[in-house]
Amino acid sequence: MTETLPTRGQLERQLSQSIQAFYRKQLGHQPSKVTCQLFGEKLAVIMEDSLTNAEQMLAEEGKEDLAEEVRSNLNDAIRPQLKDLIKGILAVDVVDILSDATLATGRVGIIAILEATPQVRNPESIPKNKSKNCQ
Amino acid sequence: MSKISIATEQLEKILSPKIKSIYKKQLEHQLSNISYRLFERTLVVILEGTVTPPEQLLKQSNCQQLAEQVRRAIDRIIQPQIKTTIEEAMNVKVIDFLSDTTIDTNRTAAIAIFEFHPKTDSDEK
Repeated sequence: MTETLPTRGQLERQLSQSIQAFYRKQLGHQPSKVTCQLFGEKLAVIMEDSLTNAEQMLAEEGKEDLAEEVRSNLNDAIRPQLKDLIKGILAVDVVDILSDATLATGRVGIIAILEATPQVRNPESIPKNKSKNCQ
Repeated sequence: MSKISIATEQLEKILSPKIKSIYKKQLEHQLSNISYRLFERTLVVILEGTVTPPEQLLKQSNCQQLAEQVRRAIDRIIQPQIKTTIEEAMNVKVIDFLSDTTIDTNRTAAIAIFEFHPKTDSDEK
């Protein structure tokens, strides 16, 4: 049974490729690099060169506020589909998705909070989350 | 800024009280949990219980949009302070800082991208 499960690396690579393709399809622009990292019940996604030409143009023309609003609305619009994509690959529910973009660097960061740690062939390779309770 | 050897546990010990203190001083608000993950040039910080009672009340009173507007303004003030705290604690420049809050789940996530990979004790094992 365990033999048929993907490794953590395979899952992260599949996620990276699928997210890259998803952004290309949805926004007509492919981020140059997508890095995925699983840790505990969380997934971090970093995308480089992820802004569309339209957003870059707005920012270059001094309309940073509008560019930020556009990005924020785009993130909201694609969030449900992104949730489904992650759920489909990791086979666990996504309970929260948090995302932000920096216009100046063109970088987008996404944190997905999962219902459980995804099942992989090498579970010991998924780092446990470092946590500190605030008393 | 130069490289510094720092254990992840040490990082938590240094960062958690400082981040807590920012919320306490600025908003008189106590966070319920802070978790960290450091990989390569990236530090992920997840803060639980970040949404203040006034924001929750706004949301419950069908003023979700205003609650989100308030949160954006609060994050704009608080996040640069967290960024500076991380830079000072790790002695590494943060070249990008991304953060977002979900009011419904009372959670904030931040991603700090460092100028270079900070050296930790686990690197030497």
